[in-house]
Amino acid sequence: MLKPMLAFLAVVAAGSLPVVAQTTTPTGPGAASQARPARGPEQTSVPSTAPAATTSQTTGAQNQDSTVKQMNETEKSKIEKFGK
Amino acid sequence: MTYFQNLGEQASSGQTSSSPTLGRVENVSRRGLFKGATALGGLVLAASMLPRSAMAAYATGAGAMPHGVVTDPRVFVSIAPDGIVTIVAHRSEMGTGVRTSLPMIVADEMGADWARVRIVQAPGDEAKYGNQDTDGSRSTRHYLLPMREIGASARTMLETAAAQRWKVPVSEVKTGVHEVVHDGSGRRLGFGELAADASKLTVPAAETLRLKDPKEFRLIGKGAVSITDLRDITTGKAGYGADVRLPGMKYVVIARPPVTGGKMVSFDPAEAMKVPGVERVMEVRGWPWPSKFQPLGGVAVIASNTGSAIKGRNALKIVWDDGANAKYDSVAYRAELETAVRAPGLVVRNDGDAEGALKTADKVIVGEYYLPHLAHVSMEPPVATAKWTNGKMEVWAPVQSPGGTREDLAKTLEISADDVTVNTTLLGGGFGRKSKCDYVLEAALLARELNAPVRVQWTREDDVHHDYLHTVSAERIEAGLDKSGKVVAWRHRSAAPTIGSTFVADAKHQIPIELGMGLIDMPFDIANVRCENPEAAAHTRIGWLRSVSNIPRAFAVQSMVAEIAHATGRDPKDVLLELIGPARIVPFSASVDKPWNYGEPVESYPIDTGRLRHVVELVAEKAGWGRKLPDGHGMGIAVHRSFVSYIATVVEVAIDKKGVLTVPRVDTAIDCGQFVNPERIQSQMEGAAVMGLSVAKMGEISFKNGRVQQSNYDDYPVVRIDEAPRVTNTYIVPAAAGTPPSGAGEPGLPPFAPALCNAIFAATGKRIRNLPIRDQLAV
Repeated sequence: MLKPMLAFLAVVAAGSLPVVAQTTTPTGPGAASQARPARGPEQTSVPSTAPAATTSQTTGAQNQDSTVKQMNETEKSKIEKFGK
Repeated sequence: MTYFQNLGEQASSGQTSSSPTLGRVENVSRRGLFKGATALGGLVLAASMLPRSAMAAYATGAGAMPHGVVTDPRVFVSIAPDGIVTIVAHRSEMGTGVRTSLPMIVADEMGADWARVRIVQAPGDEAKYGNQDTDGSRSTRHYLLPMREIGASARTMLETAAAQRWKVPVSEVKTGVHEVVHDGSGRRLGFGELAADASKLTVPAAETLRLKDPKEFRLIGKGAVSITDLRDITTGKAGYGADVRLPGMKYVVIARPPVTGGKMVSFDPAEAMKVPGVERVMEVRGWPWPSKFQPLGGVAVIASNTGSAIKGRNALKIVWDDGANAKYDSVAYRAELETAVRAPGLVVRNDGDAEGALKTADKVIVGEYYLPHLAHVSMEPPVATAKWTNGKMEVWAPVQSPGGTREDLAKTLEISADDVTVNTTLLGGGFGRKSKCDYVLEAALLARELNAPVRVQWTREDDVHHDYLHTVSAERIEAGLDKSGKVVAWRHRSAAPTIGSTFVADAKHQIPIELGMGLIDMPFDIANVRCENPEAAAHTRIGWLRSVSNIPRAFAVQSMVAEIAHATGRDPKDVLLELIGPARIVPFSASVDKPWNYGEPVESYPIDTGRLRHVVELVAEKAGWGRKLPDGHGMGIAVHRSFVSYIATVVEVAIDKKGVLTVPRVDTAIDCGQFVNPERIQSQMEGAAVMGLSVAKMGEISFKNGRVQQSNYDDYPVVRIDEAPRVTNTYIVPAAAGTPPSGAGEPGLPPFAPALCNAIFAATGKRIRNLPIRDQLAV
C-alpha cells in the first residue's frame, strides 16, 4: 500500500496531475464530433422514373408480393384495434 | 430435475395430452365481471386470503390481444428439489422492469422467497405464453391479474400437496415464505420438498382460487426489489443483442437505400473487397414500400468482424434510384402541413357548434404548433444474429415482439413457425423501434443465403438514417372565449403523416389510434369542440415512438391552456382546472366514428376527470406552485391522460442572461391505478423527464433531397448528464380499491415538453410553439 502512495505523491510533487476544467459540452446540432469521421459509401443517384410525391400522393407499392400485402393488412388491422 | 413444469401429459379432467404447451388460454375479460369488493359474509377462509370472486376484478383488453393470456402455472413456474423457483418472463426487458415485475407478482402471490427465485426469458411463442408484444404500456395492466392467478394456482397446488402428505384438511395449512405450514402441529415443508407431489395435481379452476389480501403483499407495491439484472447491467456482464457470439459467425453491415422507397441500381464492390477481413459483398433483397417491417434491401458487406464490414461498406460505390420521395424536404413539408391546418380537414369530432361559437366569441386565441420527426436512438442500435440449420431458423435479437418476429420470420422465409426460434436478449432501450423486426429479417435471410451464422449490426448512422420515425406534425388550436374569459369553443386541427402509411399505400389520414391520442379524447369541459384531421402524405417510414401522437397533441393542448391563461391574466393551473371541469366520467363524443381507448374497455378505463384534476392538484402542491422563484426562473404545468394513466408535470426552468436553459427541478404526479413496482415507475418518470427534455430542446430529424440529414448523437443530440434535470420528484397516487392498473412506460413523456415551454414563458415571456427549442432562447 505504501508504494502506490509514494508513487502518487511523486506524481503530485512533479505537478503532472492534470487540472480538470469544467466545460460545457456544446449541445446544438452541427457541433462537430472530433472523434468520428462521418464517412459512408460513395453514393450517387439516378433520376427516377417514378412521379414525384406531392401532398396528395405517396409512393404506393404497386407490385408488392401477396405475402407482404397480407402481412400489411393483418398488422394494420391489429394496430387499428389494439394500438401499437 | 425440476418439477411443476411441462405436465401436459398429466391427466386433467380425464383427458390426457402429450403436448407440454397445452395450457388454458383464457380471455380474462370474459371470466365475469365482479363489480367492487364485497364483504365475505360468513365465509371463513385461510387468513389473509380473499376468494377470487371477492376480489374487485376488472376487464382489460388482454384477452382480445393476439394469442390472449395464458395462466397455466406449469407454463410459467418450475420448482427444483432444492427449492429454487424459476419463473418465466415472457415480456421483453428494455428498461421498464417487466422482466422483474411480472415474475415478482407471481412470486408474491405464491409466497416465494424472492432471494430463491430465478428468472428465465421466454422464447417467442405466443401460443404457449400468450401475447408477448411489449408495447403500448400494456404489460402490467394486462398481466397483473393473470400473474396473480398463476401464483395463486401454484400456491394452491403446494398447499394441497402438503395437506395430502400430512393427511389434514387443506384449510388447516397455509403458505408462509417459501414453505407450507400446518397450523395445528407446526409442521412445515419447503417448496422444494413439495414440488414433485404438487406437480401431480390438477391445476385449480380460476374460480376456486384464493388471492392474497393486498395488505399482505410483501413485494407488490413495495419498491423494495431491484431489477433482476441490475448487477449484471452495471458491471457489464449483462448480455444484449450484440453480445451474442456463435462459432463461425459472419459480421454484416448493409448499405440501404438512402431515400424511402428507393432501390439500388448498381454497385461496385472492388474497393470494398480489398479491405482486410471483408469476405463478400452482395445485394440483399428489399421490398417495395410500404411493406410492414420487411427489409429495405441494399448491399451487404460480409466480414470476419464488424470493423472490417464497416470499412468495406465505406469503400463501396453505389448508384441508387431514389424513387418518388427524392425531393422530400422538411422545410417545404412543414409549409405544406401548416397550410393544411389553416383550412378545413376531415372532421373527426364535432360537438355542439364550434364554428358558430368561434364566430361569436368575444376573443379567439390561435396557436399553431410544429413538431418535427423524431428518432428513437435508443442506446443500443438494432442488431440481430441468425443461424440456419437443416431448414430451421434460430435468431437472437433485442425485440419487443418475439412472437410477432417469429411469425414474420416464418412468412418471409416461407417455413413453418414451428421451425423458427426467437431468443430475446435484453434490449438496450426500445421506445418502439424494436417492435419492428426488419433487422431480424435481414439477418435471417443472410444466414440462409450464406449458410452460416450471421450478425447484422446497424451502426448509429444506420439507426438514424433508416428509423421508423416519429411523425412530423402541425397542430392548430383556436380557442374562443366569452366576455368572462371562459372557453366556449375549441377547434383543433392536426395534420401529420400516419403510421398507417407503413402498411397501406397512399394513406393520408391518421388512423383511430392516432386520433385517440390527445385529439378526439380531449376531456375539457367545453360545449363546442371540433377536431379535424387534414390530409398529410408520408414520405418516409413512420412508426411509433414512446407515447406516439400524444407528444404533439399534449404539447399543443397544454401550451394553449397556458396561452389562454396569459391572455386572460390568470394562473395557468387555475385555468387548467377550470377547463378540466368537475370530476366526472367523460364519455367519448357520440360524433366520433371509431373511438379508441388504448384497446381497453371504457367500463374499466373511462376518461375520469376526477383523476385528472387530482394529479394536477397533487403535483401543484408538491412542486410548491406559486412559490417565489429567483430571477430568471419560471414554472410551467401540464397534464395529460395517455395509455389510460393520468400524469401531471411541473417543470421549473432557469434561463440565464445568455439564454442558456437549465432545469433545476421536475415534479411529476402519476395515477396509474394499482401499481406493482414503484421503483420502476419512478425510473420511468425520471427517464421521461430526460427524454422529454432531449425531444424539446434538441430533437429534430430533418430531410433534404429525400435523405435524413442527421447521423449520430453529434447532430441528433440527446441530453447529457450535465443538462439533465437536477432533481426529479415522482408522486405515485395510491390506487383506490378496485382501480385497475394502467400504463407507466410511456405516459410520463407527453406532458413534459408543454410544461417545460410553459415554464420558459413564465420565466422569459417567450412562447415556444415550434420544437425543438434549440437556439430560440439565445440572446
